Amino acid sequence: MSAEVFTEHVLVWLGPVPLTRTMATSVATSLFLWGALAPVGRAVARTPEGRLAAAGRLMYRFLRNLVTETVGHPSRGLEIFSGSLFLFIAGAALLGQLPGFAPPTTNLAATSALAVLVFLAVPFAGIRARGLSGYFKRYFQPSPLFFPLHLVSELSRTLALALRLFGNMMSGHLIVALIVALVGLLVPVPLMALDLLIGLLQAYIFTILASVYIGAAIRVGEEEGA
Amino acid sequence: MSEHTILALVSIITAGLTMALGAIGAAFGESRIGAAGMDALARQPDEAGAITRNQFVALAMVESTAIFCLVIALVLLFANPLLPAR
Amino acid sequence: MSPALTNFLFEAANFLVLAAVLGWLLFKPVRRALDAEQARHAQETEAARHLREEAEVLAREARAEREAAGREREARRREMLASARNEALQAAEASKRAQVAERQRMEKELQDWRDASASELVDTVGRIAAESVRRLLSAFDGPALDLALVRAACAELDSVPVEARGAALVESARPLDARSRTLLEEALGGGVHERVVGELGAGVRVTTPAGQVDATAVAVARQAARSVNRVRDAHGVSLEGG
Repeated sequence: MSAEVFTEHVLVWLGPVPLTRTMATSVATSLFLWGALAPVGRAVARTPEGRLAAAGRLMYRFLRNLVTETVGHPSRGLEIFSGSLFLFIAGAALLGQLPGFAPPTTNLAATSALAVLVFLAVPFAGIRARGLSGYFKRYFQPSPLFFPLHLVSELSRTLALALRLFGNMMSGHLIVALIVALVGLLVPVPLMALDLLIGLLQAYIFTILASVYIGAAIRVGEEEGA
Repeated sequence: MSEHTILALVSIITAGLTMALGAIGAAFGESRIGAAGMDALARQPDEAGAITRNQFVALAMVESTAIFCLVIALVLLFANPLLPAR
Repeated sequence: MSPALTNFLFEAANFLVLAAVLGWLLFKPVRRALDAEQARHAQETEAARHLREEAEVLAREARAEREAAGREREARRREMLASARNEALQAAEASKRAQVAERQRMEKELQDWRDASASELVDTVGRIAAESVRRLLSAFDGPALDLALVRAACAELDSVPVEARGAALVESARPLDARSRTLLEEALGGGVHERVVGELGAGVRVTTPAGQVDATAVAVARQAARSVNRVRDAHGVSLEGG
């Protein structure tokens, strides 16, 4: 296991396409979320008085507030994007507590994929909100000299996003694995709890940062329009 | 002592140093953020939500440096490009 | 294809699919439910606000009605109070007037009674006086009285004009004595036609064409009574208690 920090664990080759363990765990996470949350959505729609519906409503409110407070106004697409980010990362951290299950977020390629999605979502949302020129004006905002700085900022924050998530999840997972290897039963439980806490916290932070980045792209247009 | 052994030794020592020094800066920074956050919370309990959110964001930012150090340490330990793949 | 690149692409696709699935199965129904709930809340709030406005209007109307009723009651009360006061004043006035009239009537009655008693007293006094005089004169009955009365008649005759003194009739209770006749002849300046009238009591009564001089006891007594009456008539109330 020591060699699997950066390397891909290929389960099986389907012709030229490798099927890695991370792919399997991420699909498992997605299926878990689907299986767990689809009933919640159904419950909210059909039996609004039930506990499941209340839980779903609470969760939705939490995510919507998270987005609304960072963006400044409700945004349907951003709600779904950021909410899914939070649910995916939190669900992965949750599933990571299962023995022998390495969350997909302990893989640098996976976290990079999420960070790149955020990186791509920023111009997407900005252009959709303010138009092409309205969005790209912000790269030359104080003066055109700042264009390279803006570019570097966007790239570096994407890198930081990916590495932060990867580092936190990986370190937690690694520490638990180490303690399990050294001591065994029950001793890693507090560290697993800490790992879970850090995982949920990282989900929150990742979501907030993604919302802030995308919200900034939307908001810049608003300020110019105002 | 072979060349590879020296490289491995230096890599391990450097990884430990990287982690230690990187953690110091992040620890100091995060402690200051925590103190400032508590201060702000004590002054304005009504703004607890916004303060906590921004505090977490700032903590994540500062922690990034420590995480970068961790990643570099992990690279040195597990994916050292100078060492032959195991 | 390298495992890392495959992993990266698969991860991105996986997340997008997951986001789509969650957006379809979780976020949409929850958002719809919350929106519906919010809309219902807004509607209910609106309805409640409407109801409250209606209630406020009703309350305002009720308050206005109550105030109007209160004003009317107050006006009626004031009116009743004023009329009652008026009536009381009128009654007081009437009673005062009645009292005054009663007092006046009583005063008048008293006055009448006083007057009546005074005149009765005076009459009695006059009668007593006349009676006394007559008795006195009767007591003095005799020539001296006759002579005195004749002198008085003569003195009175002096005021009668001389040319009217002739043809006088002298009446007396008793036949005139010489001295009286002399005096009368002197006073009348002529002859004396005499006649005796017993009921005169004493004295003489001289009748001339110009008038009559009565100097008999009866006349004196009547004169006294008349004097008393005159005094009473002149002083009226001052006689009371006298």
